[in-house]
Amino acid sequence: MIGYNCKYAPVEIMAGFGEKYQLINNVAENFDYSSAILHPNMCSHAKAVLEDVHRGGYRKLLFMNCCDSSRRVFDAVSRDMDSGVDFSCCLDLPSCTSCCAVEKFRDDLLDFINRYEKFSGITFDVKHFLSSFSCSKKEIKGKYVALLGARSNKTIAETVRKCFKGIDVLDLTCANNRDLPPFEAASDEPLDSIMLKYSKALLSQVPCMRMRDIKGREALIESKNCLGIIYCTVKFCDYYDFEFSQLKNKGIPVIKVETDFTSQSSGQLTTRLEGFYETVRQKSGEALLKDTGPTKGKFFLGIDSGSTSTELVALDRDLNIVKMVKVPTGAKAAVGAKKALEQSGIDDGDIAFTTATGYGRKNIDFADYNVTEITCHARGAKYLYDDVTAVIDIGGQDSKVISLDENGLVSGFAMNDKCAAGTGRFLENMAKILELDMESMSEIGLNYKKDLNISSMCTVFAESEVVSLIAENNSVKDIVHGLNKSVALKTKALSAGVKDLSALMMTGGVANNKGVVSELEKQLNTKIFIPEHPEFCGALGAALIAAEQFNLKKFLR
Amino acid sequence: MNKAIEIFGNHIYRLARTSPRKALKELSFVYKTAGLKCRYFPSRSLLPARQYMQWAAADSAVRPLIQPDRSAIVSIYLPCEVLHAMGIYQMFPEALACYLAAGGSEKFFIEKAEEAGMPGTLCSYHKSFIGLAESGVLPKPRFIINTSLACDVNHLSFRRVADYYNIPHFMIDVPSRYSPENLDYVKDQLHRMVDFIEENSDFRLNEDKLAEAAGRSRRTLDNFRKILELRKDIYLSDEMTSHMLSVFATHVMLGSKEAEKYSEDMVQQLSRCPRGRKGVRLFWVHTLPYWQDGLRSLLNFTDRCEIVGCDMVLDALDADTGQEDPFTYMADRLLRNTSNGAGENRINAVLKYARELDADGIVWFCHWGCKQTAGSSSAAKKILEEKGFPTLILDGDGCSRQNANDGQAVTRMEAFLELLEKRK
Ligand code: SF4
Ligand code: SF4
Ligand code: SF4
Repeated sequence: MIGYNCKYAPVEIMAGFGEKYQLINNVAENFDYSSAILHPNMCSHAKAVLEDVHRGGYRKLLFMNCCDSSRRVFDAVSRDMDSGVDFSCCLDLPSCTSCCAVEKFRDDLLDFINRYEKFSGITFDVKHFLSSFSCSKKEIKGKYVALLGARSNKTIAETVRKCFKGIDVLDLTCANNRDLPPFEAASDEPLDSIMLKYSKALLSQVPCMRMRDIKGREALIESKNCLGIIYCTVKFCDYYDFEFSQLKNKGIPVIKVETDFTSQSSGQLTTRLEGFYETVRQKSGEALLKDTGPTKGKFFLGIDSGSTSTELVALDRDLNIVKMVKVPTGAKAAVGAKKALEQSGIDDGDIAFTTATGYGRKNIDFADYNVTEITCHARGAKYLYDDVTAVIDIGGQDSKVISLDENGLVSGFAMNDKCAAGTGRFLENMAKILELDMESMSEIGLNYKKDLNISSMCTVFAESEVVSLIAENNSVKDIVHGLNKSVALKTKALSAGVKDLSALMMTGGVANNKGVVSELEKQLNTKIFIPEHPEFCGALGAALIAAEQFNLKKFLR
Repeated sequence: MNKAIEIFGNHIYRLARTSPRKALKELSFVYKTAGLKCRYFPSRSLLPARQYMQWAAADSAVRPLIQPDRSAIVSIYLPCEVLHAMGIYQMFPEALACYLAAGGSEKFFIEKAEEAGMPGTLCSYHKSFIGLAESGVLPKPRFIINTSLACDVNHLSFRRVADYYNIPHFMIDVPSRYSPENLDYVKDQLHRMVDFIEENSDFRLNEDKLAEAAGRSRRTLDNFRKILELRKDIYLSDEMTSHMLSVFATHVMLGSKEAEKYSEDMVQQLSRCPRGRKGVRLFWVHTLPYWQDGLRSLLNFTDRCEIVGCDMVLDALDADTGQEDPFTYMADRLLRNTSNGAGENRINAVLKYARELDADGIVWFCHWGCKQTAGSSSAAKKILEEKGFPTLILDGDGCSRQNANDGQAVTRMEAFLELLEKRK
């Protein structure tokens, strides 16, 4: 099997040698081998390629010299004696389609044929080469969502298909977007001239971000049928953030999904994609209706099942808040939710409709419906603060920034990646190191003297940084201030895509932390509205959605 | 950070947001005065040639800021003889970012770039550069020319900034290996670069002037070869900045009168230095975090150790195959650059120069976001240590305080020095 790494790789030549080929794009079980060979700051996809090759899946390698990470991985596989690879070649990829570039690439292709003939003893067969061109492009007629950007992988593609049931998913990520037109040449044409055409065809594909002229990429998302874009980036890949930063202003819903190319837990990914699904559907005018049979009762319930605590809000028919309950979630989401319901004292028979949200939303059996916390926080925020344009929600596990349009619908959102920096968990860990309770943690940083910086982006490193700051005799006040600032900066980075921060509201547990709020106000240069009970906003939104679903159903009936 | 720098940095942080033009004026003024001070009030601790170069580099950094319509943005590896011959000034990310960092003023621009969606993992030189442009501080030049040599960022930031300014952009594609065909390919593009400039401006190339510039480049690199030879058994009290300046002299400034004078003076002044060695001799790979306090106090002007050479300064030293035609000479330099192609090319060059300079140990500096350097670091350590050169992989950042952990860097560096001292 020949492994290749890029859509520009001349795999049809391999077919001309009767060889089989496969794109190297597997996720890695772990990075044990590569972490000994490569610096940690290399692109995760490239590291996964190294793992895959080292495991011995490929006898031959055909690489395009795409980027620094892939070049260095090629260096490393060339040194790896255990991979079983006996032929490897890395071709230069020109960055434009000018005549000299096409000719130069033709020369490299001819040279490659020569090398492979010498290596294998097989003669290149033009007929096989020509017959291997297949028009693989899938025609899509209806609405679809597009995967765009750098690499996607199996986990991402499967999760997207699951979340977008019934809608076509078009994978247009860098190497999966290989698209050669049917190739015309006579088999007795001189090889030179065939390869010139082939070179031109390869280089004229829809350009990837490595090409000089990327205008052709606009065609990828031009279609009216494209409902939204799931933009895939890879940790430590730089190419695609450049495009993503400009996509945000195109009016089409887009969400960024960053992968580290491990079989990452799809929990958070599912939440984000479902949130995105809800956004896309609402944007195209659909309601979030689901029919659940007849109901009576006078209360609408919203339950927010988070990683540490579960909140319940009950509304009466006039949408007044009649109950708010908070309990620890415990080991099982369902048990926590049940406990919250018991504490609320509401009878089963009095419930008209229940909506669940939060991490455990799917495991609450008595809920009629579940919606992601993104949609719920937006809904709750609009209820509490009618002018709201954006919501920052920092909870225990994650932090998000949600922008709302004039109707209070989600127009975009960003969530932190897997790492815990910038979340409530981060502050809790640091409080432990500093031997503070959360109450004092909230206040003590306000009276700092020295403007300390915690520069590490990663929780683990930040911990050691804090430890050394303590060792250097810095005051706890100043350190806490530094931590607050680092949470604020992380959040500021998340809110980079938000257009309107004029009426900003904060929800989630960390909104109770005065130090963080004051730093955020400073960093974002705006006042932040904090509701009386910020941690109930998600449950409130869920209850409002419950009421809406109920009324819709009545209306339809 | 020195108090004055800290105050200036904070001042620029505020000013750049509200009045970018004013920020530009103040930055240019400060660079210019700093340069002049080196020229007219030299300090005792540095060789006069080094101080001359500080002035020359500052001057060539400020000129394009004052006359942007005579200027181009270039990448550090672009052979600039053509531009020198035409009288076009150059701005380039590394110099812009280095001067920002020296004045403690990089933060605003890096934040600006990140706010615009640039990845946190991008090389900080280029983040500073994008931030400078998009904050309105960097004035709009005539055009942008860059090569694809050495790293990915070349494919990204120049295109983005050209779009931002809406100015013409030309890129030279450098294949990863030397071959006669590839030489023609690059040469051809260099010719087209001249057409590009002439089509987009009134600047015209005078072949004689180009030949003069190429002659200066040759002589400059010859001098650097002599410096290498001399440095072998000389101790020099020096600072990290000097090596960064030499990087400028053998790259964008190569072919200028100033770079030639600098190299000549260095040869003369070094020949007068007494022979002998003091302390540990380090060979440095890649850029240097010359502004970082902890490392400065450890490495600058001390008898304990010295940096005897930096691989970036020397990356095209052996590229001259005696080609008369300036275009062939420039193309040759690109293709044979030690940073081109496989990581082994660079590792072998480092080995060669570390030997020639009689170094005791090697510091492989992984500048934040520089995947081509970081990507070779583990292999380099293995290979270089097998050949008898203890190697320290030092993570840091050449121009951003955000990504540099001074305390950790000092601990590692000091431990490395102790290790080398014990071996001696
Ligand atoms: S980014 Fe471009 S060159 Fe790189 S692997 Fe993808 S398609 Fe190939
Ligand atoms: S994901 Fe990006 S950095 Fe990684 S191999 Fe592909 S292009 Fe290179
Ligand atoms: S430091 Fe590295 S990534 Fe940055 S411009 Fe230089 S070679 Fe490229």
